[in-house]
Amino acid sequence: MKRLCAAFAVTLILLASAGSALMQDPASPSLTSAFQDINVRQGPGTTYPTQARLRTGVPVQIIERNGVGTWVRVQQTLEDGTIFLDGWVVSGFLNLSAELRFSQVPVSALADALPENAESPSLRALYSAPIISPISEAMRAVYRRGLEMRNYSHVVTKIGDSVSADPLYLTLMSRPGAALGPYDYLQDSLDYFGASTQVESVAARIGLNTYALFDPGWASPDTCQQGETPLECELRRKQPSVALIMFGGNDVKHINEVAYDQQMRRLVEETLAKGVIPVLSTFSANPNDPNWWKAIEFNNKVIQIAADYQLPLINLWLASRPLDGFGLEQDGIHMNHWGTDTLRFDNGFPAFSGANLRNLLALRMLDEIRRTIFLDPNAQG
Amino acid sequence: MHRPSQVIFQRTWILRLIAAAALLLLAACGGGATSDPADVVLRFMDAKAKANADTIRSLICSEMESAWEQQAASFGSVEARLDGASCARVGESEVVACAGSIVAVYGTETTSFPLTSYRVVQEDGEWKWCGEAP
Repeated sequence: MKRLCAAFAVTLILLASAGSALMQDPASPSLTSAFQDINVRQGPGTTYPTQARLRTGVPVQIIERNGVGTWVRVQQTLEDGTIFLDGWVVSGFLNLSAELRFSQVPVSALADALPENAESPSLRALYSAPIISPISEAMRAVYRRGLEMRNYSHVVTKIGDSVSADPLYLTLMSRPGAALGPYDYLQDSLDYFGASTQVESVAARIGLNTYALFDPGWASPDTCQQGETPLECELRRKQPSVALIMFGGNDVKHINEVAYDQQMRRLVEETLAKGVIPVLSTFSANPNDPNWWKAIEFNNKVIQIAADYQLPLINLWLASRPLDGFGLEQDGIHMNHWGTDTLRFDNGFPAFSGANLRNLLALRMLDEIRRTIFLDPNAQG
Repeated sequence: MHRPSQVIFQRTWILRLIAAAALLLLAACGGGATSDPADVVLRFMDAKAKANADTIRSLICSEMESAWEQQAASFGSVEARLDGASCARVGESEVVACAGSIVAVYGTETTSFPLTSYRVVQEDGEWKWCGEAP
């Protein structure tokens, strides 16, 4: 009750102060405002309590960001220097200056969620995994082994069902006209991996599931050798250093979590054996979907497998919580689109589209891998 | 002294008995539906398209038995059927070559998976599907 009252009071202050004199530097690229009324939270995630409501157009200053840049901490300061608003908002709902560079914005040490506020133990586990996991020492060894096997460090591929086969996922990184906006710090990694995403993956197909991935019948006869599975074929022809993997949307409707766990582990082990770093990803789900709790169990399997093998993990499920419809189409499986066919992270586009958010997280993870392993002379062996 | 109609009735019964015996003999010698390797492969691929686990288990060879679940679930996420499928044994070999495809529909997308050549083996007098031919 106290929390509610406090939030109400701050909201009233904000409403009242919308037109009052504020001490904000109009020339600062970190000056921003929301283009719609949005919640201000105590931390960078939807499990943090709401402390206020930021009205459209009220100027605020960005002072910190989360590891990706999808949430920023904003402050509103009065002329006398008093800070009366200090909290976290989704950056995708802000009018961001064209000059804003997230590389210049300090990164907060706050976690991406407060798991203790989740309603069940299953959800708590999902909220506990960061949006972008750190890269383990074990992956350095995988990378070194991959180089010995003549894998290409600048080549990345994707493995998954129709959500990954989507030509607007990852492939956009190879197209000209990318507008990273404030995500300038990702440019070098985009340049490094971008071209390799142009060639379509034979292991990312519409209708593919974790069983079909090991069925030669699903391998393209034009590209693959007789008897090769789609996974074997893809890893042979591209020899990538990194494979972005996501399954679940199809599997959750047809198999149980024991079978899913078994197939995902098989996928991880075959990928590791080829000296390729498997990056696992949770998948988004809608609480109104009849398979909601099963999807939560599947996603927990993904997190457990990533932990067991010390794999990089993208927690797309967590990152998509603030999005309208959780970033999903009406079918509850596919990520929705904003409509652009180039990579655009300027002006809040990641907040409008699950597909765009997923591209951003993929690029952010590739950046983490490149900086941690590829650019580290000790990782070269 | 039999009347002609009685003679015809007895002959008909004898012919029926002979025919029945012949059918029984044929079945005993492996003349059942699974005796034709091409037919086994066709039935297997049809079961795979329809994700019919029971049929797949009954037609898969012991060498590939551990993969029956994969074969049954492979097309589980799509609506699939055989299209223009026909199969024929290659000479007296353990290879059956097929034409046609599995057509899979997912949402508004239709994908065609061409059939290829498959290995068959005989186990306990029955032909079994045993993976893609090398």
